Amino acid sequence: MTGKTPTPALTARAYLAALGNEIRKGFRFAWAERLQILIELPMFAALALLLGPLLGQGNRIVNGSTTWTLDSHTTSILVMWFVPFTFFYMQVVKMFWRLLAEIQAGTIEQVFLSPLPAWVVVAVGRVAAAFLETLFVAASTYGIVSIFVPLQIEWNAAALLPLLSGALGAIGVSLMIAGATLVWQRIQLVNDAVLMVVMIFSASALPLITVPSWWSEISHFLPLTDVTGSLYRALFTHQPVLVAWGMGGLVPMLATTLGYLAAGILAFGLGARAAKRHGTLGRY
Amino acid sequence: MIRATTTSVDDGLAIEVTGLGKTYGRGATARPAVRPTTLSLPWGQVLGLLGPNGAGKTTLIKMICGLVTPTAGSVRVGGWDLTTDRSRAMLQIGAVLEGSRNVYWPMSAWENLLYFGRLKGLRAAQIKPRAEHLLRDLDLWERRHEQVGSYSRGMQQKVAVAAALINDPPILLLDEPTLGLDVESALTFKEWIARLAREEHKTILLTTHHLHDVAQELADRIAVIRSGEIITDLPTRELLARHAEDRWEIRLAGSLDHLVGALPGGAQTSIDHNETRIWLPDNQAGLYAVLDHLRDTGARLVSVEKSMPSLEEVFLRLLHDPAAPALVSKEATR
Repeated sequence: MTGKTPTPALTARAYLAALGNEIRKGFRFAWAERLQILIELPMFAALALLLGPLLGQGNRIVNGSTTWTLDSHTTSILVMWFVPFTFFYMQVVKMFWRLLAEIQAGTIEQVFLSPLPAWVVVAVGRVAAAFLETLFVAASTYGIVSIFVPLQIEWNAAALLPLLSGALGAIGVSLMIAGATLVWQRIQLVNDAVLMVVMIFSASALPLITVPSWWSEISHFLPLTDVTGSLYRALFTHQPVLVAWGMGGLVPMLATTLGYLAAGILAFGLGARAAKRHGTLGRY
Repeated sequence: MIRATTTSVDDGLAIEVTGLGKTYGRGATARPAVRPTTLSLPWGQVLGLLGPNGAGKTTLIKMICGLVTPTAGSVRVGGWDLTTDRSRAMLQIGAVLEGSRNVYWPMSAWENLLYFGRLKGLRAAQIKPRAEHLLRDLDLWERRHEQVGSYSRGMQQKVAVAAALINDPPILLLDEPTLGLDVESALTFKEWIARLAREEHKTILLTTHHLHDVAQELADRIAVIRSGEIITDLPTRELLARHAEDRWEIRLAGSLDHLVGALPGGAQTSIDHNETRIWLPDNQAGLYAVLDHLRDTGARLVSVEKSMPSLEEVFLRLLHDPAAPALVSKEATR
């Protein structure tokens, strides 16, 4: 039996310092990618402007009678929809690519040598960075789109609840993707597919398109649908957000959010364990 | 000097590996990377872990620092079990891993050290003096705010080791630390590692392919791993002594080609511009006869000693001789 070196357990302060550390690093890398964000920025605005005349106009498109005009109400709803999706996109995409870069560079192994839980270290910095990037992208998208069409979104503090819920759900999904990335690395197609599915299904929460009932039912199981519904309720209908059921209801929204968050933490842990078991943590 | 922990050297072991093994795959595809290994490293010792590519060195090191999960056995670091006391065990270790950048190239050396210090649970006030000490010691202080990506390979490797040492861990794991370094950088690096071992009494587990320059000069003890199995684990001097050959080596100053014809049968020579070496079978009478002859010819004697093989020769002998006996010291299995 050997004697143990007297090593104090890590204090809460050490955890906070390490979390601040990751946030700082996340911002550092976000700043390094500012050109990429600037290039992407007009795309978000262009998508909102192009979808405006087309969304929910399937019959007119088929008949060839599409009216290429920008409707203020429709475009406002689209811009509102873009905010949680942009956060989701930033969180998941940045988490995937930055983690992949760390795997390729091998720095991920040094992160795992930290005495802190790896999922905390890996996730937190990205969340804060994604939040800041989203604020910038959402504000810029709002600004660009409003040049072409006046937007009518009345801010309501009740919108903070679905926004927070959406952020937590996005963290959960990003951790699931991160766990899979640690094991399989080359999963960019899966990543893109997840983004696409979440985007398409969350649109069913908007009163702009008509979807079959099965589509609507399935969409409740995806992380952004009820968040979008609740946000629409808060910002466009002046109805309370504390409604239990229905599209944007509190129960499906919180259930999916907490479910994805828990599944994300679990999936990341399983992914890290599998990578350590296969010896592929820092191998690309 | 600031330490992340109140670690002190006690009478225990720095690293204690018991029956540690790793097999990839299952059933017919099972491939053992490291066969069950028992190894211990006392505080302050430098262990050179040598082996050809694919022998299992990196897997063993990664199991010791918890980056690869073993299929058998256990690891204790500073007395802390890696599985049940992971956080405390991690605070004992700094590691520089092979084939890895280890630090962030888009960040400066200063930013890297701050980052890795916080990652180890230190506060900025603790990290800054330590980071300054390390960067000055490594002649990187003036360039501390430049991106690591703009540094030479040697400088990048110095930053990697500095990052591993930022919380002043008592144990350092270095997997091929001189890989890719030019001769001068490797020399500087080796001197620094030697200083860490001698002056700061770090416990170091080191793998390298630079057997003479790095392993033989730095390591107190050498373990050779072949096909996932440690076949030799001995103090460096003892390992070399055990492989000492039954022959004499005579070194003479100058290039003495004319001597070759006068040497007895079985003698071997090596001649260059500055030195002539003669190896004779272990025969006292033959040795004296040759020495008499050398004296008569006026050759300037430098040394006469029992021939000691280099670590490279011993290493190759161990690897290529399937019948090489396992030489393991008591310390290794303690």
